[in-house]
Amino acid sequence: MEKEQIVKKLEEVIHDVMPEIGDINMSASITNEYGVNSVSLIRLIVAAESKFDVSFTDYELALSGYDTFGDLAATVAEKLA
Amino acid sequence: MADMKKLPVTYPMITSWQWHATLFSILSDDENAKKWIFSNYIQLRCYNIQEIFTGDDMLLMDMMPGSSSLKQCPYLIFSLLTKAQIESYCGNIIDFIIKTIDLNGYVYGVFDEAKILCDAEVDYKFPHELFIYGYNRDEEVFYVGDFTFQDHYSYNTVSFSDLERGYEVITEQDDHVFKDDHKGGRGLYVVMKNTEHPTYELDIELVKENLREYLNSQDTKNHFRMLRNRFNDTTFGIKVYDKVLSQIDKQLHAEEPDFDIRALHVMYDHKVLMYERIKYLMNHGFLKYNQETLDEYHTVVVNMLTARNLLVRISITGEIESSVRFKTYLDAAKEKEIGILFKILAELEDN
Repeated sequence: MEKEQIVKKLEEVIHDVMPEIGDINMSASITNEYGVNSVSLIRLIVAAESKFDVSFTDYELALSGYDTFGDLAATVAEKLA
Repeated sequence: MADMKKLPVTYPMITSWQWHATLFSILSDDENAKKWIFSNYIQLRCYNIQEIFTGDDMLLMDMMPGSSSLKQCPYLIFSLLTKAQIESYCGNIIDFIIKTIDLNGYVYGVFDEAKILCDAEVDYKFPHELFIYGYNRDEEVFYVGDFTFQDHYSYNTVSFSDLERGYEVITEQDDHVFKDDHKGGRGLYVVMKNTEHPTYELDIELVKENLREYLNSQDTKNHFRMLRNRFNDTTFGIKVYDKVLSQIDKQLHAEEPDFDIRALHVMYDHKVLMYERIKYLMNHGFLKYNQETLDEYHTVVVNMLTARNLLVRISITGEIESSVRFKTYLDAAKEKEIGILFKILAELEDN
């Protein structure tokens, strides 16, 4: 899947899980800019697993692993490669 | 009076309970205060209580000193004011808080956060501790720290009018801070920094004693029975791992599994703080610097975090079968932690 497609689908996931988020900047801080916390990140990951048919390991559930939504997209891309 | 004032805060190193988040917001970047912080917060304890809001069975986990830390920390000056005193001295709560902040006092106490969060009138209360560290008269807001606003600890603003409403409706029965510790009543704490002079040095004897009691699951509360003797069914130290596993197992097999991750979050914060403590002891000559020990303890931190995150995941997906892995992470953290802390205790006792 192309990077742009991954980003587009991930944006759909983000809007489904966190409808309060408006425009998404894939390079902005997910904690400071969008208020993502450890629980909402895991909700996003679970939804992304379903959308992309991939699996995250238990260690990949940590908030410290993702500064931006772009980092989350990159992890999905690695799993799809 | 100034139009705006914010007392200094630093995002806290640990956030598991409001009293810890408050103390660490005020003190965690202070080098003197670290001497007291790293001498304490070593022992873990837990006991079952009924949750204040829901009445559900809850495993209350905390590091010692628990909620009394704001009163007992020598790097803070603590005052308690009753509602009657506040009204007599200042007339109303808004003036009281502004005057207190002008005198460099942080304010802490129970407010009805349902009134603060909801625009509409609601027929229930959500009494919760709020930490107030600043005000802005032009915008008519207070600067506050709490968990309620963004589902994790964060700094936010609350309007003067919402805060006043949230204060006025809390009765003596709702004020769990005063009910638990001050024989009832209603009021607030005023907390000031007292960090200019080193009034408390790192107490290596206390560190050793706390580590021994933690590793041997001994009853640390017995030292403080002159102050408080309400609970006799408390689990201490390493045995809290077993207690938490048993509680989670009970929740997993309930008809409608409902998880409370707060105990796990406290345990995770305990590991974060222990890691920082070990590093501090090494950097200040109490232990030989050993990167391998730090790296090994870091795996304890990671395994606790992973156990907590996995439980969050199970609560979202309902994949109860993943709980086998949850136990594996917790067991790995426990085994590794026991080994490292016994080694550290032995080195401290040899010095």
